[in-house]
Order: sequence, then C-alpha cells, then structure tokens
Amino acid sequence: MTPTPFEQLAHLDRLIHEPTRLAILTALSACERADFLFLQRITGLTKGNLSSHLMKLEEAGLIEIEKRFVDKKTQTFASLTGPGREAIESYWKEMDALRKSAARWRPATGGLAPVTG
Amino acid sequence: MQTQDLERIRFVTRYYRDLRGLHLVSSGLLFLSIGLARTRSGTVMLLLNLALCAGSIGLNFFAKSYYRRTFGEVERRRWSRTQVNLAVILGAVVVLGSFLVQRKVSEGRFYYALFGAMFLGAWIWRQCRLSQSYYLGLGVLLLALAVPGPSAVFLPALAATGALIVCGTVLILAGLLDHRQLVRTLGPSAATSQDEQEDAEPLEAKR
Repeated sequence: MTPTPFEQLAHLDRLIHEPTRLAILTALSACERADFLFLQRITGLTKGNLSSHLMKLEEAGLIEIEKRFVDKKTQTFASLTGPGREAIESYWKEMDALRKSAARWRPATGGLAPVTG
Repeated sequence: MQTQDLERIRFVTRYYRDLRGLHLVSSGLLFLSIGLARTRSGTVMLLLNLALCAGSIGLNFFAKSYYRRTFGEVERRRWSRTQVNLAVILGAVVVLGSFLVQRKVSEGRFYYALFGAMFLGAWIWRQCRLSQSYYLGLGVLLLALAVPGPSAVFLPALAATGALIVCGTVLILAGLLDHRQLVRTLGPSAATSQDEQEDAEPLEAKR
C-alpha cells in the first residue's frame, strides 16, 4: 500500500526540512564551498543563529567547516560532505514525490461520519 | 521559506561570481577608453583616456576587495569532464566563427555581432531567467545593429569606433544592473563587514 502524503511528510529528515538549514544546504549544494559572511548574507541570519545551525549540520556530518587564514585573518568556509550532498539530493527527490502524491491524493470516503446535532 | 526563495538562493550562489557586476563595469570602461582613443587626438582626449584606463584598473582592484568584504566568497563547483569538453568545443566554434565573420563584415558590425552573441550566451548560461532578461534585450539590440538593414539607420554607430563606444557603454550598463541585483538580493552594503565577522564570530568562540 502506498503511503499517504502525511506519512511521507512524517518521514522527511527533520534536520534538513527545517527552513533555515534547508536554505544553508541549498546554498552549499550550488557551490563547492562558501564562506560564513556569504551564508549570512544569503540566508539573512544573525551570526549566532547561523553558527548554531552550522554546528548542528556539522555534527550530523552533512557539512564540513574549514578555517583559512587570509590577510592575517581567519575566514570560515563551509562545504557539503559527500553524504551531505547525497542527503540534500535525496531530500529534493522525496519532496518531489510528496508533491506528486499530494496532487493525486483524495480523502477516503465513508471512513468518518459527519457530526450532527 | 518558499520554493522561489530557495530557487533565488540557489541561483545567486551558483552565479555569484558572474553577478559581481563592477568587474563588468571595469571592462566596459576599458572598451570605452579604446573607442574614445580612436575618435580624435589631443591633450584633453589623452587625459580622458588615461583617466578611463586608470578608473578601469582601479575599479577592478576595488571590486575584488569590495565584494569579498561585503558579501563574502563562494567557490564555484568544479566542472565535470563533459562540461570542460563542451566549453572547449564551444570556445573553438566561437573563435572560428569570429574569424570567418570578421573577414566578411566591417569591423563595426563585427563588434556588434560579437558582443551581441556574448550577451545572448550569458543569458542562456544564466538559465534564461526573467531577472536576467536585460542580457537578452541588450544582446538582441547589439545583434540588430550588426544586421546590414537596421545598421543603415545608425550610420554614425556603424564605424568601429562607434561600435566600441556602444559596446563599452552596454557592458557598463549590464554590469551596473548585475551589481544592483546582487545588492538587492544579499542586502544593503552597510550591513556586516568581514572585520565585524572576525571580531565576533560565535562559531570561533564555541570551538
């Protein structure tokens, strides 16, 4: 039996499905690596908020954080790991499948009786 | 967060390097300078020419630092072997085509055709997006100037000098529009700078 859209939605990876982290992963999936400032600009997050999301993603093994010294200053770069790239690609496939099944889905008739009185 | 927001994020990240329009403005100034140098000689023209050249070089250096400090850095995804092969073939076709066209048309028309094709190519490269449609418009305009019929109407612009000035101006315009789009997408330039980021980067502190 094919799962309903609600069941599919429940099975989505919550770490990725959270809008802010999804924005970060989407940006990183479109490049090799991006620095902290760019990620902050593109997502519109504060430094603290972005840091906390990046740490969560790094702990999950989806991204790698790299420090570089440019002009005697530290520059933080983030990039997707191999599993991270696979995870975001599989997430988009799941979302696509969910969108299609939601378009097809019709509520089961005769299951619930309307409440009267 | 809507799908179009994610699409915007994906587009700006992928084409971030191309959207840094001040570099294009710098190239435009250089073409403008070459075009003006061919119009007439004289001290004033020489000074103007030098000023444009210096402005172009200065702007190029400034733009590099400005974009890095204001919007950060993005490393492009590496090209696959197929993409590299396609780019080499396309480059060879463009170079060969240019030589063939150059022999048959006037220098002015050649510049219009070359720049028009470059603008159309840039629009296609950037996924034919509506937000980038000025590349389509400018490309069509330049290609129209390269066609013998319409170019007769723009007689003064037919000469190579005029063509260089027109193409330089168009490059400047496209660069400014690219820059405007980047600034509008990534927020006002008065926001956080790289220095501020270094002062209080929480990720650093937490480690």
